[in-house]
Amino acid sequence: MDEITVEFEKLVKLNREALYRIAVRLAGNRDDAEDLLMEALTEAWESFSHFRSGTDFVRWVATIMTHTFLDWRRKNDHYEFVSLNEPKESDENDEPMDLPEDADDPEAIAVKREFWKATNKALDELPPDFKAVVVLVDMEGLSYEEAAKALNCPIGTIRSRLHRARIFLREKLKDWL
Amino acid sequence: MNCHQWSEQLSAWIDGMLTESEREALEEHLKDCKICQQTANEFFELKRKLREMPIPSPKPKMWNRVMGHVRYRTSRRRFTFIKPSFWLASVASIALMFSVIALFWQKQKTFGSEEPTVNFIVGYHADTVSLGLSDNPLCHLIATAELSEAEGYE
Repeated sequence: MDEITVEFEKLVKLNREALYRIAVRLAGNRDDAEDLLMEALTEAWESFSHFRSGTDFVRWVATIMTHTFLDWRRKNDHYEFVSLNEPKESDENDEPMDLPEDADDPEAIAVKREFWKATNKALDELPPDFKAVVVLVDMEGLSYEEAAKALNCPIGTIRSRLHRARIFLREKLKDWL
Repeated sequence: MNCHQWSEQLSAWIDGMLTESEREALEEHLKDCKICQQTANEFFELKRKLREMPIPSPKPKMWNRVMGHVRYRTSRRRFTFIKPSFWLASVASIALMFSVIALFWQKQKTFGSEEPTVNFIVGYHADTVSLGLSDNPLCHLIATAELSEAEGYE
């Protein structure tokens, strides 16, 4: 293996958890997250000469992953986009989330599970551009500026999309808020 | 400005993205508006819960599959994406090598056929005389003698 490949694989290994977390939040499930990681890391390896040593590797790959995710969604003909102006009732999604068990009260766990399931479903109903903003800013803690750079759009667009996405999610999850 | 219009400001406010003057104006409005207070609380709660969303653990050996795929794809692309100039240079080098071998082989064949001393042609006609002689001095002498005789020289 050449020096560049060794360095790249070292960075991936160091940041495995964060990379997987972003992938699964964008993709919505483990199988798609695995495919997303394969695609995004291949792209990352090929652009690795553009990565500046000392900068945040996870955020750099997160940008590539977000673009890959958006490309997939745009190319995917059967994906249904939901208008945020007229949100529609989506089909029941019974696929359970694979959640880690904890020692909480079983009833509390059941409520949490229901909430997480509903949240996952609501996130999947968001248009991909909006979901990406929620994942990057609300879930991953990126600033508006970083999210704007990752999505290649103005900060005002991030602010507007985030607000509309939050209104949508608040409506969908009102029973848990 | 009504509550609907304040709503987007609220969203930016919980992220700390308002300017000083915008923040002051919003906080002034929040003191008296129960609807906006509730919206702000819900946005805060939503953000907190989204951040706490658990992550399913990856499938067994997921990273082996992911990195195996990355290595396979990048190695294939590395071969495919070799610059066209590399291919041109390779083809030119191979062609040059074959040319040198062919020339060398041809030369060897020619040198081999020069061994016999009778390798010369003498032809003379009424108006033209053409000679083809080997480098062998003996052949040259024979040819000169024959030619002299034919043309009536002593």
